[in-house]
Amino acid sequence: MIGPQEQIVPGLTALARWCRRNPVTAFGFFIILGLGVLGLLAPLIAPYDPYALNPREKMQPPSWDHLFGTGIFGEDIFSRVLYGIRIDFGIGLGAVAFGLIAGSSVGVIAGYYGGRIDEVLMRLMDIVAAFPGFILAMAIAGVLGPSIPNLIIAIAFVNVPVYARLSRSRFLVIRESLYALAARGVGASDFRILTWHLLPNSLAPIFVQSTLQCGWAILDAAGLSFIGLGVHLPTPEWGVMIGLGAPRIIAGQWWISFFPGLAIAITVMGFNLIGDGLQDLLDPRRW
Amino acid sequence: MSVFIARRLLLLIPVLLGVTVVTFTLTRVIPGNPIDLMVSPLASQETRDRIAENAGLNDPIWVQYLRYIEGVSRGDFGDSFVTNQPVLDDLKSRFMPTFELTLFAMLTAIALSVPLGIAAAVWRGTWIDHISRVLAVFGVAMPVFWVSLVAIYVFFFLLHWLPAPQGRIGIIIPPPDRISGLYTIDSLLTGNWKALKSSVQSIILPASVLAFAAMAPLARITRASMIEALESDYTRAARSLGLSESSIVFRHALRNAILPVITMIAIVYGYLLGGVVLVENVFAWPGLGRYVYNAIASSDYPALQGFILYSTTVYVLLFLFVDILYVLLDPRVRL
Amino acid sequence: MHNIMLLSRRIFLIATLAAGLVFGNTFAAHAQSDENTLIIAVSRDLQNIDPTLTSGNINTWEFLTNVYSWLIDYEVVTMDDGTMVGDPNSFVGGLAESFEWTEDGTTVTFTMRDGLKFSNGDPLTAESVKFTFDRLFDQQGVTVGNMALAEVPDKHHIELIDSKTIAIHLDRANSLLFGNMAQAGNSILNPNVVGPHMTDDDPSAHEWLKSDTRGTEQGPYRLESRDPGNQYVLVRNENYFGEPAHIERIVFQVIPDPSSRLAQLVSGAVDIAMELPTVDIPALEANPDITVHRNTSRTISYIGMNNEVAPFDNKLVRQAISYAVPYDTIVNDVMNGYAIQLKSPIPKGTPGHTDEFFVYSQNLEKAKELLDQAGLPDGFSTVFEIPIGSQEAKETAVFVQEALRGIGIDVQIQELPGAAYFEKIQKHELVFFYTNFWISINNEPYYHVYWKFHHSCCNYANYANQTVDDLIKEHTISTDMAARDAALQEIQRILLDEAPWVLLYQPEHILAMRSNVKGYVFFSADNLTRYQHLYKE
Repeated sequence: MIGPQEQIVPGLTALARWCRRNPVTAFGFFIILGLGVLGLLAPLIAPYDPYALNPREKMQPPSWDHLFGTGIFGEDIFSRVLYGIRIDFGIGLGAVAFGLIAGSSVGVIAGYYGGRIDEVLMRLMDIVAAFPGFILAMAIAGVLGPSIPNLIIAIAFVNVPVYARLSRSRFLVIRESLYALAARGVGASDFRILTWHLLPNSLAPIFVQSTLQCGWAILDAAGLSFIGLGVHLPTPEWGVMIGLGAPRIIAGQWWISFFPGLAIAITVMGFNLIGDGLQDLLDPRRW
Repeated sequence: MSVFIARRLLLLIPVLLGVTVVTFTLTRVIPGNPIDLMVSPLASQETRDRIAENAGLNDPIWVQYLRYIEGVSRGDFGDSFVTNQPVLDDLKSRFMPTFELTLFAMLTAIALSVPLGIAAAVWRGTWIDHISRVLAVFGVAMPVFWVSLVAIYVFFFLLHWLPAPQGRIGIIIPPPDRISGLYTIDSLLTGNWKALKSSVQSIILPASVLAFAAMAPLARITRASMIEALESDYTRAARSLGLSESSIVFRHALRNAILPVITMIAIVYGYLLGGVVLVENVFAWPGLGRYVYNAIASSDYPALQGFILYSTTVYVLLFLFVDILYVLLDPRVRL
Repeated sequence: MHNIMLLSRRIFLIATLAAGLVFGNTFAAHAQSDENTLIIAVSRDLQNIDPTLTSGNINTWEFLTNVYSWLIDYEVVTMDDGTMVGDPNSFVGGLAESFEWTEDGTTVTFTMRDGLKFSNGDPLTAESVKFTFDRLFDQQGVTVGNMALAEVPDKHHIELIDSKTIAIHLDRANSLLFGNMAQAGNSILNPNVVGPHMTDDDPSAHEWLKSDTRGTEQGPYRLESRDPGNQYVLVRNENYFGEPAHIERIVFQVIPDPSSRLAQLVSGAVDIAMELPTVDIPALEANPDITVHRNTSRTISYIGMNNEVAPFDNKLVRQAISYAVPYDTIVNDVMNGYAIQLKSPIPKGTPGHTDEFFVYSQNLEKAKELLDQAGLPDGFSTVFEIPIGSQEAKETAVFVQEALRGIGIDVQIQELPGAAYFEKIQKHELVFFYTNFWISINNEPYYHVYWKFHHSCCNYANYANQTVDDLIKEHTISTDMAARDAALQEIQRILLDEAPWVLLYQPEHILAMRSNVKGYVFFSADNLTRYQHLYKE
């Protein structure tokens, strides 16, 4: 009988080997997992309630009491940056998931039915793609009004064409492949063809794309929140936090904006490193 | 060739029409009645209705749309609700500031990132490769508006090297006489040193911040396509013929690697159109970015429509231009 | 009707125009700050400058106030400490040399000054005045509501007697007419300039007046040039009837970002900076190169609660919230001490104001108790709506949200774009909201309560109370001053008990200028600067 120990150890050594071979990608995973854990444990780690205000201690520079200083309401920036992980990861993943589902549905439907449906859908995608992304997202967010779901929709919508084109092309390649033919041979329904055989096979490059998009989504979300088109005050979202501190920069109170921005930079970097690393696996010529 | 261009231009028409439909629909569902911004709330309802009527806000939406399209085809984008000026004039007057900013940002980014990408490709795996990679990873990860704030803190507050955000030029400095519309160039041409100093001081931070964001993808694509070119059969052939390494890099490989770089320049420029909204807001830069932000915040439909249509056209034409370049430069692309 | 809403910048940051430069236009005016030039940093460009129809952001009102004048004007009085202020309740002749009320108080006759001219040299006579008021009534613009309130219902009540004399007839005697007459809404227009722009489609020449004034000005300054989005320039009107302005040219430079305006003032690039963040004022006060003028404004900031919408239809809930709000924090930390607490819906500075009935201070236990009594022991959830881009609103909202969390009320802060906010507030669709833009120009208590609690226009909180309604109705048009005063006390007592609003604060009007700029006169009627008084040392 093989005990659980023996199963895990080879797994770990394999992981270690993989990490050694792909240190940069591993670093990316490390960042994202690390931040994810910090975010989950935020209630345990954060020294203060992220919504607690303390006007008597407002705008204090970093100190042992307040590692990242305090903001214009006397709120603890460190605690808010920690809670921000939940919000920003949520927006990033949510936007990617939405874009992915909507985009790949469009792509697969276009690819599967072909003909006029394909033509119409892909021209629609061309139209959406013709807009500069951030500006379209800004207009949509402006229309829908500030809230986290609206922000997710705005950012997801802009990325739908990316996924639609990608999944359509993947779909067409795969359709010609054996799987589809075999499935037809056994007479499975269209639905089964779509779900059981084709989708999983087109997922690999789409997954890579999604990782990269996750970083972009977080950046865009922060940008929209920064100009007031994103989430509600005083949600500890990083872009909002930077916006709250922005008017204080000229007066030298840098910490209010600095730390949330740093958190964004690290997070986006993490996602990009993973995305790049995975892309390397598919196409080793790249960085 | 001209047939190709003509066909591509024709294909743009349905896309741009689609764009106008999207824009128009979007702007009409923006919450808020612009009349409430234009006219005192204490004016009588009839008066307010009359103003709305004159502005065409009471017609069915498709009538408004048709009127809009008809106007656009004549170059009439309507009047901004906020500035009371024709939107086209507003856009024109804000174009040059944005163009100046993005132009300098792009030139800086290209000047720094292309050599860096080439060096990284040629000396792959050395310190320069690592530096450029780190830069690329950071450059795309940092929010431009945050980098802007950090830059203001460092160069204004800490070092006192540059003035606080003041737009394109210091307030008490008269802008240079207009030749090109770019303050830096015009003040140089007219020998207006005071204006030159002030406008350079004003543009240096926002342009650098945008350049920083643009550098990463450019360096990256340069490196990648250089590596591809350096490993290609013809480079190998050239090497075997005993050509010098520098001649291989610059005369053969670079020429073949340049197309993806040009494409990326276009993509990045398109991306800057978004980034510039944030950067202009931080630096009080009187360009299109601030204009569109204000348009959204005050439900200024005509202004918003005009801007989106404008930027989308620029975006689409940019890609058309790249496609045409491809055809011109790459004999492998068949028409 | 016009209670002018001075839409303060805090509210309207977003309506700010981008600064921009006009193609092919080298500047007519260049801002070299010298003795004869003032450079002023403002937050945004002019909007609709039709004096009778503008929605009026501060800059627009101030602009109109400096290029136009009126039949009468506020009297400038010297205070004990030597400062000069414009008295909102005392009037002297303006374009009219003198005015005379009939005994019964139903007719006032104005005698025009001799030799009045518009900025383009055209003569200004009583005919111009008649033209102005005819247009104003035909247009049904802002001013008409105020005229009607003062029992001047139509243009036939304006009687042209001869080219030097004009009379206004009131249906019933009252004290409301003059309070709004020294205001842009009553700007006398030049028939020769405005007339030609009147068309069938646009009988009031609104299309022209909304973006131009040239030739029809008669105030101390006239419009010299406009560079939309970037600057507008006023120059001294040599045809002004009064004492000529000291400073020849005023350049208004649009600088949307408050911290940039501040930096430009400190560096000396501009002479005056408007609408600065209160958090930065202490440093300015300590700066010897800067003079900070501080005056308590009658502007009211409050939280409106829609009295018709549950749970705010319950007086106990409104009282509970009034006991939960952290007043001190808002005055000291949001306003950084540059405000006084508002203790009656009628602000301090308005005759008849009393804080006698104000009982609220933050007391979460009491608030909780009241919520229990209201049958909401577990609290409730609501949305707090504020205008986007306003730092004051934002900070107030965050503190209010936290305080209400303490009594179980879950508040979500919603920032609304300017147009959406105003549309909703005017349709009375806001349920729980912050507002800070109202100042009753006419410093008359009944004028104030009439618009805010009686007339449907501006009773944004939908407050309805029969007794209050009756009292306002009975005493607004009345000359029995003693009865009016007594009723006003009663109105304030009821309003404070029923708590239709959470009263927040009256901000200080703060104007910071370089110390060599002298002669500032504060006009508490509207807080707007009359630049003709300023000079440089």
